[in-house]
Amino acid sequence: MDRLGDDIKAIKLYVAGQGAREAAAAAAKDLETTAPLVPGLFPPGSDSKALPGKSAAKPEIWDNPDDFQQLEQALTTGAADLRKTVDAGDVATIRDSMRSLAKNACGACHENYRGRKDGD
Amino acid sequence: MIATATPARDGAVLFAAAGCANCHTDRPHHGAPLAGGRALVTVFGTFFTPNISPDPDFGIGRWSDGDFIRALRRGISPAGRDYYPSFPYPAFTEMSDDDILAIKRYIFSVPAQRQPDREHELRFPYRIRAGIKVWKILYLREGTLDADPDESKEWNRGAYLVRAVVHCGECHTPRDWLGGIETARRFAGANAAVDGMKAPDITPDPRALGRWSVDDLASYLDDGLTPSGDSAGGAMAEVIRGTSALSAGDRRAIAVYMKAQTPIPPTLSHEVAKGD
Ligand code: HEC
Ligand code: HEC
Ligand code: HEC
Repeated sequence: MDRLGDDIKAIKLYVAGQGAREAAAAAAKDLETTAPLVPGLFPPGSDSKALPGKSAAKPEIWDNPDDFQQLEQALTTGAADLRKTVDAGDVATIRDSMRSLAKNACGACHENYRGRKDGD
Repeated sequence: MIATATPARDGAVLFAAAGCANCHTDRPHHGAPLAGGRALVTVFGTFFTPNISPDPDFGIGRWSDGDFIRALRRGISPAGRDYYPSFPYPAFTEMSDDDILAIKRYIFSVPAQRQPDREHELRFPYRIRAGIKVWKILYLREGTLDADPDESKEWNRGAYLVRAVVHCGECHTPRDWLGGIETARRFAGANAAVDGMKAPDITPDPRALGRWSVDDLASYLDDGLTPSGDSAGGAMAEVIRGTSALSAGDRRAIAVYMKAQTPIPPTLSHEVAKGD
């Protein structure tokens, strides 16, 4: 997840006119390869209640497996789309693509399934 | 009362920004829109939000404009009962009548839901509704927000959205044992603000939003991404669903107002903003 964050940061900087095109392209590529690995990150028993201080994953993940898988899928699709727009290079299109990935995948999943590391 | 100013479409935007559906729709259990029943877990006990769909029997379908304004501005039901401030009328009181009625028109345009309300499960003494009268004397400042002529138009618009509509301070300010907002530490962050989740310090302190630019904050209220590439979670993700419905100018106004606040160092345990 930290890697997703770092990648998004690089793309965000580029869109804001403060980062290099090459860094954004590398980040988008990394995001596209990392996204499909997310489904392996959250095995049952890795939630914040089971691993206080280590995990911020909410137990609700395993109550709604279909919903969670859809969000993982949205991440993979959105990341692939973002990589294409970064390669194409139009800043406004990149911004739209990043925005829709952030809302439909990152934000939508964090809204329901990410809590606090201290078990809150 | 003039009830024609804002079309229902703008009511939908205000309704989203004010987060009415976040509390009045039981999203975690896929509840019907505005049918209520969402559990709000607080230190005072658990509140179950009422049905505010336009159903005449189970919702607010029979309410007049005056009833609706009185509930949002003064926290009083049509039958004269005091509402708990878990319904954020201490913030909504600052909204204009036009905006309140635009929200009402929007609510009356969505489907009615026939779902009965559920009793709150509160701890003693909070169970006693009569106590709310005292609470209101201590904390409720009724009335719309006056513009500050010394500040810019943008700042004033931001003030209105932050205080009256999105009510950022209701979550991001510490509360005393009676559930009143500690005004001296407005926006300094609160433990267990919503569903036990912390709402961090959002003043311009260097350890809070000091390193966020106005643009950083305005874009966060649109896509939820922090400057460090993290993405908002929990209740804030729901708030952003609402603020992303606002115009870009309105989001900027919020950011301008927030960046103009007095910096207060974060007091929460390990609660330091992730902006770098
Ligand atoms: C399918 C669900 C899901 C999606 C999609 C998702 N996340 Fe997460 N994210 C989580 C969960 C659950 C956690 C908490 C993980 C933990 O602490 O073990 C998390 C944690 C994080 C963290 C904090 C990591 C840490 O070490 O504390 C960052 C940063 C992050 N996500 C960024 C992102 C970004 C950026 C995206 C979109 C590109 C994204 N996430 C998409 C579920 C998701
Ligand atoms: C933070 C959660 C929260 C938000 C946000 C919220 N409400 Fe409520 N609302 C409540 C709670 C809790 C009650 C019940 C209070 C009580 O029982 O004393 C309530 C009560 C009400 C009532 C009275 C219903 C009745 O049957 O008497 C109305 C009307 C209402 N809310 C409308 C709104 C509108 C309109 C908005 C958005 C502008 C809104 N609420 C936003 C929590 C919320
Ligand atoms: C319903 C409660 C609620 C309301 C209303 C609310 N917030 Fe938040 N906010 C939170 C929570 C909870 C978090 C922590 C989210 C997380 O950990 O991802 C948060 C996080 C944030 C952050 C991220 C801070 C950081 O250090 O990463 C900012 C900025 C923020 N809110 C600003 C605002 C502004 C501005 C408003 C009003 C326009 C607002 N919030 C309204 C609950 C709320």
